[in-house]
Amino acid sequence: MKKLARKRDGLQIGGNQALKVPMPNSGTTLEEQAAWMAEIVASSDDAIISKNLEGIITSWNRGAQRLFGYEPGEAIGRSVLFLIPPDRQQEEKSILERIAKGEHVEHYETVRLRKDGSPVHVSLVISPIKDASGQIIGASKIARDISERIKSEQLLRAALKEVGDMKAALDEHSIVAITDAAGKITYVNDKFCVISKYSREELIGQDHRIINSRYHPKEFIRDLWTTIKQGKPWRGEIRNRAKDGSFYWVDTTIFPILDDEGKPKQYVAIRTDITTRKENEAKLERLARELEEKNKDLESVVYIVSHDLRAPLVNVQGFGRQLERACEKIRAVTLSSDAAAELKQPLETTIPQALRFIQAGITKMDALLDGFLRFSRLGRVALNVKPLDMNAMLASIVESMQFQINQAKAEVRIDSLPECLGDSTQVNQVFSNLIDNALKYRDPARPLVISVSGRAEGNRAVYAVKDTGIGIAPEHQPKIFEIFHRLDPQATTGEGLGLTIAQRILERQNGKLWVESQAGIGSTFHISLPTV
Amino acid sequence: MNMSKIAPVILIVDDDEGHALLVRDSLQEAGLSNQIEHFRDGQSILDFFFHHGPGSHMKKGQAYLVLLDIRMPKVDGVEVLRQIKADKELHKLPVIMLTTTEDPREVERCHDLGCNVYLQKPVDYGKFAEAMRRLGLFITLLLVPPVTERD
Repeated sequence: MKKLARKRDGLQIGGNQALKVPMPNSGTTLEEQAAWMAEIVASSDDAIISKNLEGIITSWNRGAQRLFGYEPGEAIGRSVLFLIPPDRQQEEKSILERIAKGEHVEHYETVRLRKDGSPVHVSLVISPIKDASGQIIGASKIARDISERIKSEQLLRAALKEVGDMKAALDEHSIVAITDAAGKITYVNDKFCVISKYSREELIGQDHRIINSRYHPKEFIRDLWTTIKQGKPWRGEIRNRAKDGSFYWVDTTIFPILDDEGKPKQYVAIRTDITTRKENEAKLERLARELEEKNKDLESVVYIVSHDLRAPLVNVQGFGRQLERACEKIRAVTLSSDAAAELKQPLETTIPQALRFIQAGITKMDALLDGFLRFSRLGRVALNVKPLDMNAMLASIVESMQFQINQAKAEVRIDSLPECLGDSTQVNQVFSNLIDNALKYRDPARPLVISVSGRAEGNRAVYAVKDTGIGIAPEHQPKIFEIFHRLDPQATTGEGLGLTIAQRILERQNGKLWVESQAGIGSTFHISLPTV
Repeated sequence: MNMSKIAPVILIVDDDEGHALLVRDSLQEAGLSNQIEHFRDGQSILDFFFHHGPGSHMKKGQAYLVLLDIRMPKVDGVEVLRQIKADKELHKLPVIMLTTTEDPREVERCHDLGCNVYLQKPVDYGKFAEAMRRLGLFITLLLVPPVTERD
């Protein structure tokens, strides 16, 4: 189109101004050529406008009409300024100055206004128009609508920005490396350098063998390559070796980027440092193993207690009895003889008393062993956890303990109780034990009232067994859950296991047991059990 | 099969000599006049049954009853029970587990292996004597088949 202004045999087209255009070819008449050119201009998709040096529009083609929305009659004779947004009015002045100097303005991208006031992105080519004498008398302006291109460019820019942001986010979080199809490292991010302790220069061009820890079997690596070569992503945990010889673990995803034929051309490896987790896992595993060993030890201790420690007791008790009977025989014989006086003391007092203490000691030790065994077996009993109707359970407990309740002249009040989840037998044992304790530790000076209440608290049911008994002094409260601890061994029977077992039972069922108590007023035992 | 005529020899297998003595005494006190033999570990009773070694061995045509402790040196009672019950002839012998262990799993294991009775030795001598008296009664009522051919 630069040729538009070439100074040759010109011809005049459109309006009252001359526009010099080159001849398309020779052999046709001037009129034919003018008509031909006029048709090109008229049918062009681009807006083609001419104006004089004052900026007054002198021609306006169909493309201009389509682009800006004005009829030729509305535009011709007016200054082009009405097409220019207020903030760009200066542009026209500088364009006209350049045109006046004979310069061309090529692909000048700017914004113009449509008739409806909406902006339109255009690319302008503006050339001077000269008359037959070479004098510049105006300008031709070709305006092309580039809205679509601008929009695509904006989309592309937004997409590129998004990709850039994503990459920044990825780099912020992950260890990233890219390799070519052969596995040669072509890119590493900062995190990769930090964790591997290699510089970027040391890594680029190498393959991942540089950080191989030789921890994984060959099959593991082979499987990785087989997967990604098929274009499938691979995920796994890898132990790598840093430059200083230290090891680190990374959770790794390798994502193949495929070429047009579907073959991997690059591999993107995204890794997360899981060294701490791996260390914790190893620690946990070690602890679990130790715990298992300890449990085995404990089991054998329990076995030894249940058999070996008991076996001598059978003898002590059994032969103690035999001694006792032998003693009786001796007494029967000797008392009638003269030797009686001297033997009287040992035979009637010392020996029987010693035997009595031996027997009592054995009975006590046997009870302790028995309790210890029951306690240690709790952990092995299989639990059958299901919803429990606590109202029915407490009613049956009270019924089965009616005799003792009457003996203690106690009153038992049971509120309406919420349901909970637990093992029926064991939860029954806990409540029976608490009521039994309340009966045992009653205050003879006051009538005993035992009240059982309960309420729902979120996902749990919390029950309270409250008594008006002797209560527990604050300094004794933590001790009552200790194994074999008894507050008043002389006053009551039992081996001091009830609350220990109750607490253990509840702990196994995600339950809790705690006490609130005031000496001389009474105790409240709280039981919390899950409901879901 | 003439079962009832022969009083079984009672074989007490217990590494604790005191226990064996107490069992023997209380069975005799309960009125049992059976011959009673004591074996100190599982190996010696197996040798007796399976004719190993120089010691005494069981006799054909004699009836036996075994009172078996569990925890013993060399071969424990559960293994002795297993071997007796796995033998096509010996499995007819009544085996009474008599032990201080009351571990439910141990009890179950012995029942699974086919022990005839599982008795815990009570520490309390009164209970112990009572248990032995009942055991004695049980033994007198028990029809014990004599050992016939084995091998």
